[in-house]
Parts: sequence; C-alpha cells; structure tokens
Amino acid sequence: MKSRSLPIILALAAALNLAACGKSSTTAQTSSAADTQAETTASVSTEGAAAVQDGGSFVYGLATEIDNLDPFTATTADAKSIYFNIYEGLVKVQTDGTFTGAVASDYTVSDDAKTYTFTLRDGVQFHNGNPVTADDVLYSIQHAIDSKITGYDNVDTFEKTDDHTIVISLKKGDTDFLADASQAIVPKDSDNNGELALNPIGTGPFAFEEYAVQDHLTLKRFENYWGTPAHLDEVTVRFLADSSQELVNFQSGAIDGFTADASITEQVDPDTANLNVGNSNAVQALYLNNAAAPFDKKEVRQALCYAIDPQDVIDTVDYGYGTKIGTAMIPGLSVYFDDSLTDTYEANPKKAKDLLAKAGYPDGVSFTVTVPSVYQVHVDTAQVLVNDLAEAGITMNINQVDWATWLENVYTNRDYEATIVSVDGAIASPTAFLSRYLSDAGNNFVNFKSDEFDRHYAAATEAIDESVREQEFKACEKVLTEDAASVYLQDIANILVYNKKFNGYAGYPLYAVDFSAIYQVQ
Amino acid sequence: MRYLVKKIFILIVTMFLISILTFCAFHVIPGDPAQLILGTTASPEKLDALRTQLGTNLPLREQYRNWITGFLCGDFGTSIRYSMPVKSLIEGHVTVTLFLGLMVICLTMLVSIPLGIFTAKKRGTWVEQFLGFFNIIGLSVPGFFLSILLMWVFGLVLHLFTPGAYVSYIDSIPGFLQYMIFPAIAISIPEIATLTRYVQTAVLEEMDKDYVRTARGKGAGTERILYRHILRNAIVAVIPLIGMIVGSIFSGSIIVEQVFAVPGIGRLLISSVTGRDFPLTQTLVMYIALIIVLTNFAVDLLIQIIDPRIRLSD
Repeated sequence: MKSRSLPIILALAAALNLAACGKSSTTAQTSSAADTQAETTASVSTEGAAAVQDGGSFVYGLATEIDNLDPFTATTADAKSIYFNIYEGLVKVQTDGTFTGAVASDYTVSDDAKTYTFTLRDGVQFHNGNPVTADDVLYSIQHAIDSKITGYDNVDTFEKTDDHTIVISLKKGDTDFLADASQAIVPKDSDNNGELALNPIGTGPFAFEEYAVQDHLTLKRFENYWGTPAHLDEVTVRFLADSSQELVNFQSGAIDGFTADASITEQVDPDTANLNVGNSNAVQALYLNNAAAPFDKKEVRQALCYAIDPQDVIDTVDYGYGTKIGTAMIPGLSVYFDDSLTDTYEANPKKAKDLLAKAGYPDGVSFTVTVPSVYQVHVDTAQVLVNDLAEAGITMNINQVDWATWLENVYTNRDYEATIVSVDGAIASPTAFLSRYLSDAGNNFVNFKSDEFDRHYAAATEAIDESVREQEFKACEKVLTEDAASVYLQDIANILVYNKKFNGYAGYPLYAVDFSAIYQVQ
Repeated sequence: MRYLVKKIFILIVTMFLISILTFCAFHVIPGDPAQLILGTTASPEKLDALRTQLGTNLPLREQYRNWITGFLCGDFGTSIRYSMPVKSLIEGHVTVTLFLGLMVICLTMLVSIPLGIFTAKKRGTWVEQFLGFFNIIGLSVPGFFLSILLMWVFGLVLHLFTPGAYVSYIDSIPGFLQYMIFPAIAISIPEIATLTRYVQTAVLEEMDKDYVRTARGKGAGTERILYRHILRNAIVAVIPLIGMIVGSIFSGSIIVEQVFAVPGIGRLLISSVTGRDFPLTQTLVMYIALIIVLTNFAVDLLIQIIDPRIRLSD
C-alpha cells in the first residue's frame, strides 16, 4: 500500500503546482553582477600585520529574517545591517559615528547648513561593472525623495553643476543632513519597480550573490572596490529559526559568528570566541501611558522612578554590560547625551511610598505591564522590576503578547498602562529619539505632553549654532527626566560573538555588521 | 461514480470553509502588517501609503473577494514579508517538506508494521511489556524536546551531522538526506508509537477470529496464517491511519523544522503568521489543507481496492 499511496500524494502536489491560469509572471532570477565580477580576479595585497590572512569565508548566523534588500523600501534592522556591506552613500558612517566620503570623495556644507556640495570620487564602480556617474546620483536622490526617506522631504533642489559635482539645497538648514546623505547610491533606473529588493547593486565592498528565503544569503568580495578591499572572499548569512539556536550552531561549527545579548557572555568559551561588546543604541525603559490613571499623575510616575533601580536590571538581565541612561537619549550620541541625568532618582522605596500617598494612593497602586514576548530581555526585565516595585508597595502584573499585537494595541492604539521595550532611532540624530515626545507627535505612544519640552525642541531644531542645538536638546532630556515621562533604564549591550579563527570586527553606533573588516587569523 | 462526484463536492465545500475560517481568524487577531513592516520609526504618511499598496485598507469583504479571485486563477499574491511572489516562495519550500514527509512515512511504515506484528506475536511475554514501555515514551515525548535531544546526541556528541548547517537538495542530494534524516526521525517517533500500537491491536483482534482457528485446523503453519491471512485483514484497519499521519506530519514539521532550521513549509507558516503575512499564510493553509483532504480521499479509495468487501455508502 505504501507503493500506491506515495505516488498519489506526489502527483497531487505536482498538479497543484501546475494549477495556475498563467496570469502572474514569475520573476526570472537574473544572475547578479557578482558573477561577472568574480571572473576578474585582482591580486590582493596582504597587509603588514602577519596575522592577517586574506581569503576564506565567514558564516554569520541571524535569528531574525530580512524583508528585502532594497535600500529604499527595506525596513527590518537586519536587512539594513546586511546591505550596509552592499550599498554606500555619498558619505559613509565611521565606527566613531562621524561621516567620511564614500561615493563622494569630498563635501562642503554652507554656514547656514542649507547647501551641501559633494564632489564625486573618480573610479567608483557599481557591482555590475558600470562607473558611477552624476546621473546615477541624481536618480538616487530623486528616488529617495519619492520613497519618503527620512530627511529628504527637506530637499528643495538638487542638481549637477558638472560631471563631478552635485549640489543639494535644503528648504531649511539641517546639520543632520550629512547622516541622510549616507542613503544608498544605485545605478540609474535600477529600482523603478523595486528590482533591487531581490537583486541589489551597489558600490560597497561586498557584492550580492544569492538569497534563499529562510536558508541563506551569500555575499562575494567586490574586487573593483574603490577603497580597501575586504579580506574575506565570501560571507554567508545563515537564517536561524530563533535565537536559542545561535549557540548550538556556533558550537557545532555551522556558523562562525552571531550577535546576541549579554547573557551569552556566560555561555561561550572565551578561548574559542572573540566577543565584541557594543551598545544596541536603543532606549530601554518602562514606558508609562501618561494619559491613563494612575500614570496621569506626575507623582506616581516619579514614585516608580524612585522604586526602581536600573542597576538591578543591568546586573541581573544584562550581566553588568548595559549602560545606565536616565533619559530618552543613547550614550552613543555622546555630544547630546546628558549623563548628569542618570542619577536623578536614587532608589528609595520610602520616598516612593510618600509620593504615592501624596498623589492619593496611600495603599500603593497596581498596574499591568504589557511586554512583547519575542524579546526575552524585556520579559526578564519585567520580572526584575516586579521585585523592585513590590518593595515600594506597587503591584505590577506581567502580560506577554506577540509583537504584532504589541504594535497594534500598545503602540498604535495606545491601549495600555505600561510596557517595556527598547526604542531605537531611524538615524543617528537626537531628533530620532526626542521627536516622539512632542505633544502632537503621531508616534508619541506614551502620551507625554509638555509645553516646556515642545518649546525647547523647537528651539533646538531651528538652531544653526551647534552649541545652542546641544543645549536645547539637553534641556528636552531634562524635562523628560524631571517629569518622569517614563522610567528610563538602560542602553542594552549588544555583543558580536565570533570564532577566534577570525578577527578585526569593529562595531558602529548604528545597527550594522561590517564584514569587510573581518579577516582570518593565520 | 456517484460516490466520486459526492466526494469531490464535499472536498470543494471543505476547502471553501477552510479559506473563510482562515481569513476570519487572521483578521480577528490584532496586528497591522503595514505597522509591522515599517516598525516604530514609521511616519503616518508612509503607513497610509503602504496600506493602500497592500490593500489592507479595503473592507474585509472586498479583501476576501480579491484574494479568492486571484487564488482561483493561480495568482497567490505577493508575500508581504519577503517581497516575493507567494508562488515562487512556496515552490522552494514545499519540495523540502514533501521530502521530509516521504521520509517520515517510509520510516514509520518500515519500523511500525514489523514491530506491531512482532509485539502481537509476543503477546503476554516480557518483550511485549518492554516494548510497550518504549511505546508510551514515544507517544508522550514532545516533538521539540525530541528534536533538541537528537541534535545534541547525533550532532554535538556523535558528530554525525552539523546542527544548523542545512544542506539544500539543489547543492547535494546525499548531504540533504543525511541532514534531513534527523528531523524525519524526530517527527516519526510519535507516529511509529501510534502505528505500532494500532498494528498490534489489529493483528491481535484478527488472531482471535474464527477463520484463524479454521486455518489452523486445516494444518496451516503459524507464519503462513500470520502473513497470508491475518495481515491482509489487519492492514485494512490500519490504512485510515495514513490519512491521520499526513496531518500530523505537517503539524510535526511546524515545530521540528523550526528547531532544525529546515526551510520548509512549517517554518514558513510560523513566520508568515507572526509577520501577519496574509497572502502567504492563506495560501499555505490552503495548500496543507488540500494535501490532507486529498490524502484522506485517496485512503478511502485505497481501502476499497484492498478490501472489496467494503463498499462505502453511496
């Protein structure tokens, strides 16, 4: 009977595959530019250090999935961290957070920060072998405007004054625009219908090779890269089903490296693994709904700040690796981060109780915290906070929900009392972290309202003078802390674990994994 | 013939009901695909634009109508999460799960039928007790735990395969089979336990029937009676189980594929639900439902062929 039933199943499945009316046109996978590039092998000079060995391949394990590789539509942080290796903008971020030229060799910014002039670098090639021209750059800028990329709504005019010079004029002065100019430069007309999503072409140190959903993605070294070529021949990104598999796969040798939270430091063998400790560049907090009782009273929110010791969370959940923040700003943006605010509230259960009594809750309060269950670190944090709060007579109940539910109920509908998440910024700028606290901001999910904050924010964004800007943003942070908009905990540590056979990795103040720096150890 | 027409009619109605149920279930749970895609840094204008592009801003009835008309013409839509046509996404994944399913069915049959007969023969001995003990374990161990156990023993201790290093059948068939045998074992074990128990019971039931006594009276040997007479009758009772096994292969593969990092239908289904990827989920559910319904249909026909005495009511 086996021999009879099996072919039937097979035949049925095959029939299903053929059951289409032929209306949809299946996209043919055109082979990527990397194929032709791989033929032309350029001689790669070995660097001075004896330990560096060029060549080899690196397998990076990723427990989440990417949506696509189109730099104008991709939204997942992981997609961006990978295509960081494929695309480059006019400028490129450095490990210290500053920007240097990439496709542009040089740039000047006018005093009023309204006019940006870029000089294109000679001899920059796309992965398809074509040289980068001013027209490609103009196309990319127009495409960024059409795709509503952050910051590009401020572009007034842009033009090429000659074949090597691009001038961008802004509607109003913005010293942050350089960060926006790191948006990818792509070949003219290459993305009219989103073709780059599955067949990316850029100018970066690695060229796209292939992508199999839920399986792997392969990058090959781009031999005609304008800068220092990558050391590795090939990088494979392997998609794992969840983060619990990272360690097993690392130990079995299926992957050479992965990014994890701090608990990993207790589990990997330091003799076989390099650990690169960095920040996640996101603000983890016990976010409170300022419009819902009892958190509509400032005293209650402050009571929570006094009841909670962020150091408990950092020690227990983050194994001591997290960074205390005290306000809605990441330490990575060191110029704008006011570290004097971290100790505004010393842990003091007695003071918390007094404040609650003053607010009309002499018997303490009880509330529910809604935590997205996909993030173990936030669930663990909630458990630590329950203990801290209990000492001050505050009862916190934990309600775990899936990410989609969290986004809809908590983030969009603001139907919650409190929640624990990390909020990140779209670009490396203070506005990315502070704009959501404006009284009328669409993404102000904590319902924070303060005229004082709005005033300082307006002053900061209108300022051209850097010191005024800095001062006003710090004033914003101070309002958030003193009004206790939420209980700010930490910037969670982010750790890249990789095999000792490799070395050289360096972290960035944004979500990116730079494979070009990694090399094999001889 | 009338039987066949009736069956096909029921099949169509079943599929239609499944499609409506999935659609409703999907829209009852909270979660906006546009917000999921764009995340917490999205602007309201971008969200609106994406909702229009995805068609999630339309009334539910219209959304369903759009989907079903496309589906009937073979246009399964574009996956929200992977920005790829659902059809090409599923094609790659379905092959993997089909292979896995075939391996599970083969393993289950090859082990449990002989084992069931063997335990039936050993009725009342310590061997039956002993195997019965393992049977209970096999039935009760959860799939994910079994998977982790297999990964640890065969992967990390014995080094028979590299956990996580899935080999695509496109790259190497032997490598693929070597990797897939372990997830297949993980799914098979509960199935083997169930089927062994069924075969054993069926054989024992037949053993006590009159025709066996008659055959024995005529002087037929034990082996001849068992394989020529009893087995043929016993197997009829077991065949309907195959339909059930196909169902549990899919539910088993959802968990096991996740643990073994196998890019099959089960894993795709999980990520499509968590990503609120409606076109993908709906098509996957239809696909799985169709395979299960059709297998059960095939099983019904098979029983009639094997045992002509059974005439399913018209």
